[in-house]
Amino acid sequence: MDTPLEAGLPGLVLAQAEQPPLLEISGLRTDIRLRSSTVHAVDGVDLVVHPGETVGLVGESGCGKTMTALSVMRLLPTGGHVVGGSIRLDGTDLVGLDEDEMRQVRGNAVGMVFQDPLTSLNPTMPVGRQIEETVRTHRPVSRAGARRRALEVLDLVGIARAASRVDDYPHQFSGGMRQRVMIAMALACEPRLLLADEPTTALDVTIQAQILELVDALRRDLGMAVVLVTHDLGVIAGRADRIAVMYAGRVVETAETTRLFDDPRHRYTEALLAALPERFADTGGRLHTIPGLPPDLTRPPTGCRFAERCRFAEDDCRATDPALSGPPGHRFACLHPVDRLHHLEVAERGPDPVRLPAHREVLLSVEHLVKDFPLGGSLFGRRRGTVSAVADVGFEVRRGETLGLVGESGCGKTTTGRLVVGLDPPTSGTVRVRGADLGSLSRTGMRRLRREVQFMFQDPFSSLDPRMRVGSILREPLQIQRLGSRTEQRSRVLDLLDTVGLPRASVERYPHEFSGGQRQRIGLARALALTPGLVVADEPVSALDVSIQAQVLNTMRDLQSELDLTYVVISHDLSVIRYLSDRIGVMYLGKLVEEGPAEEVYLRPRHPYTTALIDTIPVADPHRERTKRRVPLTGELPSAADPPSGCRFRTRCPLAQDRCAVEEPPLRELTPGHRVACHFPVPVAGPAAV
Amino acid sequence: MTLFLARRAAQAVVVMLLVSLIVFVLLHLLPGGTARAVLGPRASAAQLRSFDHEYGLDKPILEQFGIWLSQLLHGNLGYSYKLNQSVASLIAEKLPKTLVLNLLALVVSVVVAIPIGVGQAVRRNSVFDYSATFLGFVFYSTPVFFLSLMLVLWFSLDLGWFPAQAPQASTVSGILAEPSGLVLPVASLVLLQVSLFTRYLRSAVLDNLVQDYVRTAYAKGASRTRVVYRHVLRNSLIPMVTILGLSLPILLAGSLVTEQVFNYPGMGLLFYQEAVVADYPTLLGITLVVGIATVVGNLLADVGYALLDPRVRYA
Repeated sequence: MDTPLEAGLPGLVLAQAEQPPLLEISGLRTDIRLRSSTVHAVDGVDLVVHPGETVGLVGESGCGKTMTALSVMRLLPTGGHVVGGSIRLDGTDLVGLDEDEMRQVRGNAVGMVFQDPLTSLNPTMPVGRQIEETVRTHRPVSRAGARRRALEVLDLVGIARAASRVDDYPHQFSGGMRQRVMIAMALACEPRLLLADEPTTALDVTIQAQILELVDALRRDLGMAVVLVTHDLGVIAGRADRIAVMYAGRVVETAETTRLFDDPRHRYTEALLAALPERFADTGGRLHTIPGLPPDLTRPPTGCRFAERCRFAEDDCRATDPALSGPPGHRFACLHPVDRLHHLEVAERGPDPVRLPAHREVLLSVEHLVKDFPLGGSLFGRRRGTVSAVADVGFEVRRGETLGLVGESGCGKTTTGRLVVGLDPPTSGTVRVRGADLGSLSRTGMRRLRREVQFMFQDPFSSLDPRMRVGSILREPLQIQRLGSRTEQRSRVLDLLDTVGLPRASVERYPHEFSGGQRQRIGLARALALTPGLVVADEPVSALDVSIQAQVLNTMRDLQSELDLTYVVISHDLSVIRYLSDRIGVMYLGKLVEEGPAEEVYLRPRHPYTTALIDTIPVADPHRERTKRRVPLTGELPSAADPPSGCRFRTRCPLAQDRCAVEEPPLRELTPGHRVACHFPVPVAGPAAV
Repeated sequence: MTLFLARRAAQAVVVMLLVSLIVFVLLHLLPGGTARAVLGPRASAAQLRSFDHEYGLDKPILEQFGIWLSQLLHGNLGYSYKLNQSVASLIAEKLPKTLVLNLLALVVSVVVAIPIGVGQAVRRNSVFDYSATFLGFVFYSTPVFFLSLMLVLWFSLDLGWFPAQAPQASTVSGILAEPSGLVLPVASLVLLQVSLFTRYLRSAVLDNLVQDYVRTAYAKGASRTRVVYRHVLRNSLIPMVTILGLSLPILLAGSLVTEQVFNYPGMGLLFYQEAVVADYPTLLGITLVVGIATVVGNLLADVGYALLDPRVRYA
């Protein structure tokens, strides 16, 4: 992406170790006082950022990475205070500044970009005014001057025709464009340091790639340093020069990026990398998991904070607190670091789940499925057209098989899932489960079918009734279906808890008492209560941290072979889909554009969208990330209310020709079992070679 | 925006038709019918019949509704046999006075409530917050007549600062010429409304203060005053618009109690006096005006929403 270089700005600044650091955090401790306790959210963090470099701050939720960034800006939530250590920016300790001096730092020397661009912009103020505010706060410029600068930076971050969009409100921009506006706002005063807190977590992968590329280009052009805070090891692998891994309020390991991925020394880093589904995607082997949960930071444990969950912990780990040590380029806080003899590969991983041969009867068959949603339309309002959410989708799933549906948000994958389980009626088309047509079923027939088909919801926090005990949640489906006596139902509930690996005492507890991963297990147990043949899982692990994700994925695989389950898994995460699925279906704007055996689709994608998607999704492997083609997909998803004529992907397709606008490509079988909807399929030697 | 307004206005017209229908039905439910109400209990059957014939009350009910509606559109709200005056002229005389009193009270309430509500939210759980909450509840829960009488007792009888009675002038300008007479009636209304408005505003500001966009504003280096008054206030006023819109009927109907206590010659006092003597045409005329004001108030709230919230404007 070409970004116009502003005249007079410093050119490329190389990250050099001998330069004095731009940001030097040492011994930082940040507490958050709650009503009756204090969370030691950041507890002795050391971090150095040199001018012009990108430092990745990575860790799971609650590890203190965001609190570290917010401490630098002194934007901590209510009750939050820096209680120790120093934050030196260009030699000045920010901790000692008063509030007025601090305001001179924010938005001026340090800019910050937040996670959710939807909520991070003021909804009632035009974007231009919001950018002008930054400029006018720190520069002695007139209104007109501030506006000129706002236009400049909007142009810089790639907002086309900035002058015509500057008076628009945030809701008139797409998610990706809003994040560009956020970046423009953070950059308006040319800060020397940009703090990006999960800048792409709320965005789709193709948009994520564009935003990360933009931040990278701006860093190079403007000579800023970037601190990239993220939970996504893939994002960090491709973008960071150096990485600091955080765990329980501490930095546990820091090294140059390739070194950290190739040769992790801290046991937590090692475990985190091993828990990634891409590690066993090709074999479908059992994932490494990190048992247990991170420690409670209101009462941090003595000794190494990871000892509780570490397979290699010994007595000294629980007694002494390891400090960061090792050579300057690679420091870690571990008493028994990874070495050739003692690493996870040789550790007990448990048996790989058996994959049953799936060439059996067709359990689910979907034909010409269409779902339109009316747009607008009230008593007096005119109906303003329809959103074509699912447009002529068809596939079959055999018993014991897993079909993965992958695509960006708005591609219709969740709608398809809801139609399959009969949560919504289709506009047209048929869904058959074991040959029975869902559309022709009576009320009783539908209720009986619910036993056969179950839905596992995305959000483990909002999909469980907060006022019901877990026992009642799991018993409810049995009661509705009038299955068994009370005693039988109770014992079934206990069995279910055993099945998903939760303690039996859980029946008396409420959902809020469980962690995200445990709640997702409750969701799985609820889905399994009626011993269904088919489970549709919508983003089953997207709300979970990597280590917890691995536990849930293992459980899903185990149960599949144990109970002979059939899964339809819906996810935006291709590595999760690839790990779980026998077959993969790729969706784009309501259409199934490619469908085939998982490895075939992943390694030899034929549709240009699949190719781009595989190229775009960040992989936790710095070597592969660095050789990748940058930003293979430009533009954004067109509106489903007015889909492009012919092939719906043509507006973003690098291979599109005139024919694509006129004629809609049918889904046709190119090689046995591999169907593609494209006039000009990509030749076989695909880009992804593993 | 135009389309949005047109749609809302169309909805309002339908609702107003329904309101007028309800008032018409009420008119027909009068005990003994209009004739009995006008001619009194001793009128003979023949007298009642000839009255009905004279005023078209023996026609089919739908036709009567049609006539009544067309009269309504020509500004004829009925005739008060008790006051021997048309209801429309009665309302035309009282309405501006009520409007003056209540508009004044509303403006003062909003102007007072904004800094208090914002201050309470910004300094949540402070002494200021607690005392404002406490006083708010006290004023809100005290009966208006008692509050008004206490005001008269202290500020008029004891201290002698303001007159105990509202200005009695027959014109609006005459009333405005005696501002000191307006102080106590306005104050009694303000004390009540401020408690309500601050409560709403406090919770709206609290909701907004924890939003991500507030953190973004701080991250730009904006000061707290700027963040609160430039970013948070506007977003917090959006829910306030509903309450303001819904207070329009009160503006027109007047406050029964306040107007009665201070003998203020407005709609509230008129309603009270005519209710005592069972002057149904006047009461229903006022009911109709208030009903329409409610609908219009809702419409204005929608417009206010659209002005404050661009997301609604472009929806």
